[in-house]
Amino acid sequence: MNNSREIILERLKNNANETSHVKVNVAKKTYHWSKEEMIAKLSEKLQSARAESYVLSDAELIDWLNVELPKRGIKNILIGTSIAKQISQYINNEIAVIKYEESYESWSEKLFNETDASITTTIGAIAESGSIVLHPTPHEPRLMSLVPNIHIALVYEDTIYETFDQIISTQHWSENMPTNALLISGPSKTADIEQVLAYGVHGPKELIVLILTS
Amino acid sequence: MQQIKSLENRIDEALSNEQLHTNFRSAMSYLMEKRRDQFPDEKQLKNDREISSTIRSHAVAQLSELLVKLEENLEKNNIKVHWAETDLEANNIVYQILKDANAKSVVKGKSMVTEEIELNEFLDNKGIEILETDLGEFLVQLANEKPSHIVMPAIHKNRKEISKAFFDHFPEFPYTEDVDLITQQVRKILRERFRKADAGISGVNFAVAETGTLCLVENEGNGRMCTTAPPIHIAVTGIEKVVEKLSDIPPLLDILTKSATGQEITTYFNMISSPRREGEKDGPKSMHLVLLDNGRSKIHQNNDMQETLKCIRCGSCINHCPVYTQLGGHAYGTVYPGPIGITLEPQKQGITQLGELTSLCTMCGACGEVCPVQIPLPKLINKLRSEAVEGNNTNELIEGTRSKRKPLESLAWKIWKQVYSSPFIYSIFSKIATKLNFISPKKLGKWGKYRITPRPSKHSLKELANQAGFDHE
Repeated sequence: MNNSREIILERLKNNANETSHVKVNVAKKTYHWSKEEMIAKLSEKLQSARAESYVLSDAELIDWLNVELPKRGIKNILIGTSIAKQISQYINNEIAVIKYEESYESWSEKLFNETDASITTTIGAIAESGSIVLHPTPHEPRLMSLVPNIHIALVYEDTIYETFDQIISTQHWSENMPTNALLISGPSKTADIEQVLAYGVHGPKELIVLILTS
Repeated sequence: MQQIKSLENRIDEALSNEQLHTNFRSAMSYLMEKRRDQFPDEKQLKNDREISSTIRSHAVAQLSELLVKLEENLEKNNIKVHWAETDLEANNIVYQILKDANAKSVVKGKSMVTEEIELNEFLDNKGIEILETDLGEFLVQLANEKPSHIVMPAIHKNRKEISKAFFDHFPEFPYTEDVDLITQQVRKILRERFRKADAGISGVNFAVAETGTLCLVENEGNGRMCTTAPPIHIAVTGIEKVVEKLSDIPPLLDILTKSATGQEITTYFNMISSPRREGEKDGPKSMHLVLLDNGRSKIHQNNDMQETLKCIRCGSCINHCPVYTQLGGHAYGTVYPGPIGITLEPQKQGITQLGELTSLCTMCGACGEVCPVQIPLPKLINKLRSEAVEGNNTNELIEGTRSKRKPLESLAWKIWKQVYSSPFIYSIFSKIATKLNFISPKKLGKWGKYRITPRPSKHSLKELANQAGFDHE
C-alpha cells in the first residue's frame, strides 16, 4: 500500500506549476454588533430554522424546565455529569434524570429508545448563521446532542460570537482541537423528497436553545 | 460505470420522459432561486468567490505537501491513513478493515467518492451488508438505482414513485404519500440500524491539514450517526479535498451551503479529529481515512486542466446547466453529471470512452458564472473538446486525444473557415445559398431530431439591409 502513497506523491510533486502558490490574505468579516444585537440575531436565525430560543436569566432556568418539560410530555431527561447535580437537585421529581455515566455500548438501547430529551452546555454560539457550537467531552458525550428526540442547549450570552471565524480564532481551536466539534443550526431536517422540508429525520426533532443572561 | 445503452439512446429516453422533465425542471428552478436569495449582494458574492477560489487554488498547488501534513496530523490523532491509487485498491482497503474487525453490517453516509468506486457493489459481493442512510440515498438504494444529482440524489423521483418503492420493501407500514410520515417511518427503520451497525462509512467535505480534522456537512444527522455510533468509522475521500488551515474552513463552508442548497448553513457541521479517547464514553473506537487518487494526480499534472481539482462538489453548476435540466442526471451515464461531470469524467476515464460527453454543453457559460471557487468550466470543457479532435496525440496526460477526429467533419470545418475568412468567397456562398435554398436538406441528422431545421432565407441579411436603405457599413 505504501507503494501507492509514493506513486501518488511523486506525480503530484512532478508538476512545476507554482503560479497559484501565493495566497491572498483577506480581511475578516466583522459586524460590530452589541450583545443585544447578537442575542437578537442568534434568536432570529435559530427560529427561522425552526429551532426554539428563549432568553432567560440563570435563576429562571430551573423554573423554565419545571414548567416546560412536562408541557412537552418529557418524562425523562439526559443530563451531562458536569451540570447534572446543579439541575437534578431542583428539577420537578416527576421528571427522571438520566446520566451518561457508562460507555455508550452498555446502554445504547435505552439511549435510543427510552430517552425523551437531553440538556447540554455549549462552548458558544454564532450569531451570523444562528448556530450553537459544541465540543463534546467525557461529561457531555457526542451522542447526547444527536440521539434524544429533543435537544435543549444552554448558551451563555457572553459566549456568542459574530462569525464562525471569530469563535475559531478567539478560542484558539487550531492549537487544541477537540475530538469532535459541532455546529448545530436547527432540528434535523431533509428536503430529499420533492424538495419538501421534513423535520426530525435522524437527529433531534426539536432543538431548544436557552440563552442565559447573568 | 458500465453502460449498455449508448449516449444517444439515453438522451432519447430522457427527452421523451415527460415526468422526468417536470421533476428536474421544478427542482432546478427551486435550487437556483434559493441560491440567488442567499447572494443578494453581487459585490459581496464576487469577493466571497475570490476568497474561496484562492484558498482552493492554493491547496491544489501544494497538494503533495498538504497531504503529507494531513497524514502526519491524522496519525498523531490516532486516525489511520491509507492511500489508494485506484478504485479497486480503495475498495480492498475498506474491505480488509471490515474483515479484520469481523464487521458484517455497515451504515453509510452520503458520499460521492464511494459511488465513484462502487463500494456498495464491491462489499455486497463480499457478503457485507451496506446500507445508505441519507434519506435520498436510502430511497435510491431501495429502488435499485443510482443517484441522479450529487447533492439531491433522489431528485428524479416524485413522491408517488418513492412511496411505491418504499412500501414494496416495507409492507408492514401503512401506505402513504405524506412526506412527513415517510420520513418518520424511515427514521424508525434506520435508528435501529445505526445502533447495531458494526461500522460506519462516510465521505469528507474538507480535510484540514493543520489540525488533522475531517469535516462533514449535512442536514439530517445520519452523517453524525454513521461517524459516531458504530465502533469503526471509515472515511473515504479524493486527495483533492484537503485544505491547509482551519481558518480556511469558515469561508468555504459558507459558500458551499449557500451555493449547494441555498442554505445559509446546514443543520450540522461535524468536525472530527479523533476516535474515542481514553475517558470518553462514545465515538468510534477506531478511525480510518482512505485517500483516493483514481486519476486525480494525473489531472494535477496537466496545467491546462488542474483547476478541475478545486471543485468542492456543491452541485451549483449542475443546477444552472440547461442541458442537465433537460436530461437529468442518469442520461450522462457517469457518477458526476452536469458541467463538472463532463469536465471530470473524460479526464479520468479517457476521451476515447467518454469524450462524447463534452458535447452535452451549449457553451452558455452559466456554470462558470456560478461556480463558488471560480473553476472556468466552459473553458475547460472547450479545451477537452479541442483535445478530442485536434489534440496532440503525444499528450500523455489525457487518454484519447484526437480520438474523436472525423475526416469529413474536419474537412467541413476547413471549408467553413475558408468561406468565412474571405469576404469574396462568402458573398458568392451566400448568393448560392439563398438562391438554392429549396434544395437544402429537410432533416439535419441527429442535430435536427429535436429541432426545427433552419433553411437559408431567400434574401440574405445584407440584401435586406441594402433594400431598406442601409449603407454598406
